[in-house]
Amino acid sequence: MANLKHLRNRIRSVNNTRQITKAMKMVSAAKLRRSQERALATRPYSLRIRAMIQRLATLIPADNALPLLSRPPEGARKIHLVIYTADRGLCGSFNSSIIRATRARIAQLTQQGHTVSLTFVGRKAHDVLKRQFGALTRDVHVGLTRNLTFESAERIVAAKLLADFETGQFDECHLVYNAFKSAMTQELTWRQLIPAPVENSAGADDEEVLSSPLFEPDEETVLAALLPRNIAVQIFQALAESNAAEHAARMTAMDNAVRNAGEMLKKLNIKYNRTRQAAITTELMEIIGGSESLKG
Amino acid sequence: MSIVIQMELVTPEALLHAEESMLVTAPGAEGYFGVMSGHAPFVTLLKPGIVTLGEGDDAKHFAVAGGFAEVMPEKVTILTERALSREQISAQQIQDELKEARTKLAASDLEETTAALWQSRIDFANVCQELLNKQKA
Repeated sequence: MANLKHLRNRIRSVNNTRQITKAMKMVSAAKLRRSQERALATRPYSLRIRAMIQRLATLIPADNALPLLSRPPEGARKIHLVIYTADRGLCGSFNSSIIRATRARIAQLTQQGHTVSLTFVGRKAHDVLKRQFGALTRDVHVGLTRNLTFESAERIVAAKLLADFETGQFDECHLVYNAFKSAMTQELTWRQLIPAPVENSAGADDEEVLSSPLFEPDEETVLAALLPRNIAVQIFQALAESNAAEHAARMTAMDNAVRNAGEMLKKLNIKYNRTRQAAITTELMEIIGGSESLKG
Repeated sequence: MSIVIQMELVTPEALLHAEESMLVTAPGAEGYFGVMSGHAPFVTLLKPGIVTLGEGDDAKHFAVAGGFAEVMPEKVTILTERALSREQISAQQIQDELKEARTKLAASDLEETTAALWQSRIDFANVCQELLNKQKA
């Protein structure tokens, strides 16, 4: 009978787990909808400001370039990585894929002779990587997604990053985050932040220059104002995307968990019923056997 | 060429407002400017100020924090950190915001960039106030 009791406990616990994961899935689904809208809403500004910078950068002579735009010297550089993960786990491969990619990138950069420093946005990557790269860590920002506004992203993350850049703590900066593709897929994205990436579209230049707009006050002033703003915007957008992707990943992971628990429950139930039936049969046999022997 | 011009008001958090209008007025770095359909393309910095759609009594007003405007013949895109329409502004909120920003700014150990952020909030609150006063007048 010990076996039956054991099975009953097991069934109860799997059932409880299933209920929890189901609730988490519901919560994530609700949060996903909100954060998805928000992530999509951040895209227009981000796209436009990048397009504007792209256009301006081709108009400005390379030699008087601004620090946020100019290429750092070849060879060993100080490279800063901003790593976006969730504050919590239970979201499938959402955090681990970022962690894996970061580890590989750090190893690669170190091998090339660059100095790497890190900023963590979200707790999870820091939890895992702090033992290995604790000495490289500059900042850890936690809890930003709880009340996500552009203003807080700008004040807390971007302002610090710009201040560090101005004091020469690093000369190149990249973001890594999960971009929101759909409720089912996230895309690991690396984005260069400093210097602002400019594609050399030499072919299109002639046309561009002819139709180039007027600038007020002038190209350089506009660009000098655009660049720091762009950094804050990209940081914020990555945060919004990462947040939406996190909820999507958690929803999918929880959906799988619910399904797995369901399957397990079914198997356990069959096993339980079989065991119970076997016990009853044995008992019956014993009774019948007993009464038979009394008759004789 | 159409006589109306497309206007888009975009903040980092959302595309706030998109509408067609005869005339768009915005606070450029070198003074307020008006744009109508067919305007020559230009890009300008914006100061904190009031963006107006249309003219007279039907005009719509938005208080905007600084930003950028990109003008094309058929379209104006206004990129700003924050924007509020006249209806969204409440006097109480402005006062709260001013108070908070001033307190934060008074703290002496601020980094330069952070101080600038709080200053820009004060500027924005002042613009909101200005828009509110305009409504009463």
